[in-house]
This record gives sequence, C-alpha cells and structure tokens, in this order.
Amino acid sequence: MNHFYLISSVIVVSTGIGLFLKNTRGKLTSKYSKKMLFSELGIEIERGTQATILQFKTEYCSICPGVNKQIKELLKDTSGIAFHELDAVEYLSLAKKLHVKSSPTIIFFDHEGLEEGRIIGAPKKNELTNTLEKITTLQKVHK
Amino acid sequence: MMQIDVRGPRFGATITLVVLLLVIYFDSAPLLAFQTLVWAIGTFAGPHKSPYGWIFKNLVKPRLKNSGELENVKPPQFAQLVGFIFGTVGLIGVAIGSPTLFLIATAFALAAAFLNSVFNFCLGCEMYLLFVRARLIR
Repeated sequence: MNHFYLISSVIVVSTGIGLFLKNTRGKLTSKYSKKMLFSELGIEIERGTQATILQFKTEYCSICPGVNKQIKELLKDTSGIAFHELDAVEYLSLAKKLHVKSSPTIIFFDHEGLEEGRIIGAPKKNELTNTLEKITTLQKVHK
Repeated sequence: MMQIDVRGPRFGATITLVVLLLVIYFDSAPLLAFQTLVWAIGTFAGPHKSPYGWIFKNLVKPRLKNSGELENVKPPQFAQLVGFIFGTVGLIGVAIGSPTLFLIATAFALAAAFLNSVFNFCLGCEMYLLFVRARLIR
C-alpha cells in the first residue's frame, strides 16, 4: 500500500506554513504591543534617549548573529539609540512578559519607553531602516 | 564554537526529504531506521559528521564555486535532534505494531525536512524557545 495522499497532504500543509512564515516574518508588527513601559519590564539595562532596541536570541538560532551584525552596522552612525541583545532563555521571564516565542525577536521602544512594534525573524530589506526612521520621526512629532 | 558551511545542513535536509518520501511511500521501517541513525550521528557528533554532512564536505562542496557563509553548529544540531525524536517515535510505532504512529511521526519529520529544504526554515529559531517555555527542555 502506498501513501500518496499522506505525502501530498504533508507537502500542501508544509507549503502553506512555509508561505505563511515567509510573508509574516521579518516585517514590523504592532500586533503584540501591549503599550508596556520599558520601566515596567523589571530589568536593569540602559535606555536610549531616542529609542531602545531589544533583540532576543537563543543559542539555537542560526540567523540571530547575522541580524545582530545588521543592527549594529545600522546604528554605527546614530546616537541616542540603545541596543541590547538578550538571551531569551537567560531572560525567560522577561521573554514571557513580552510574549517572545521565537528568535530573533527585535522589539523597538520609543523615547518614552513604550513599545512601538517588533520584528520577528530576519528583517526584510529596509525594514530595520524604515522602523528606525519611523520611531525617530515619531519622537520629533511628539516634541 | 564550531562553525560549519550553512549550505551543508540544507543539502542534508534535501536528502532527508527524499529518504522520508521513500519511507512513507514504501512503508519502509528499515529505511526509517537508517535515517534515524543518520539523525543520531548528527545529534551526538554534529551534522558535519553525519553521512550527509560527509557527502556535502567531500563530494559537493569542492565542486561549488563560491565559499559559503559559516554558521554555529548548534542550530542544525538542534534540527537533527528534532528529527531523531520523530524517527525514534516512528520506530517505537513499528516495535509496538502501530503503523499509525509510524506514519504520523514520519509525516512530521517529512514536514520539518520539507520546510528546511524548500523554505530554509530555521527549526531552532521557531521551536527551541517554545520547548523551553513549555519546560520540555532547559
């Protein structure tokens, strides 16, 4: 007996999952934003005067080092933006508080310490630049 | 930290995909046992030490023009562990006379190999933290 239908079903479902992840990962989303203040997170890390970025990683994340490098490169000529890479397992309670379920998850906080949004997975082209521009522009509007 | 060519694990996932398609199509427990052994080597010795890693390193890589990027060995090792768990569950299905368990476990492994091979899906990125959060692993 062959299992042609089982194989076809697995391939169709996997293709659906793959396409879903491809379309949803790497884009800025505010779906998870609970408007939580950075000060409510209960961690002792430096906050930026313009923005704060937290990147959650795990040791089993193959794309995390590349994303970290990309963010550092982007922030090279900027000021007032604090960037911290945190191990989600080491900071598990914080990761749970922030609803971090996969790595990398990059969370952007504005100058007031409010979450503006997050990117889950490897950021798509220009997504990081656009997000930083958006956050720093928002700050100018607030002023 | 040990670094390996990023293309190696994807090559391995493609061979795994073909092997698992054959496992399901022919209902072949010996072939699943072979694949589970490959996953076991990948899990405990590293994916670069598994037969597919050896084929990539010695037969495929020398024929590729560009040198690939390097990555930490741990993420693909985690994927091998997940495959090893599915393979073991499938073989338990064979041992206890449950073809349904054999097929379901192999189908999950097939889905993971398909996502890895076709979409370059990072199993460690998506699943490791969920496992930790569910307290399945530290």
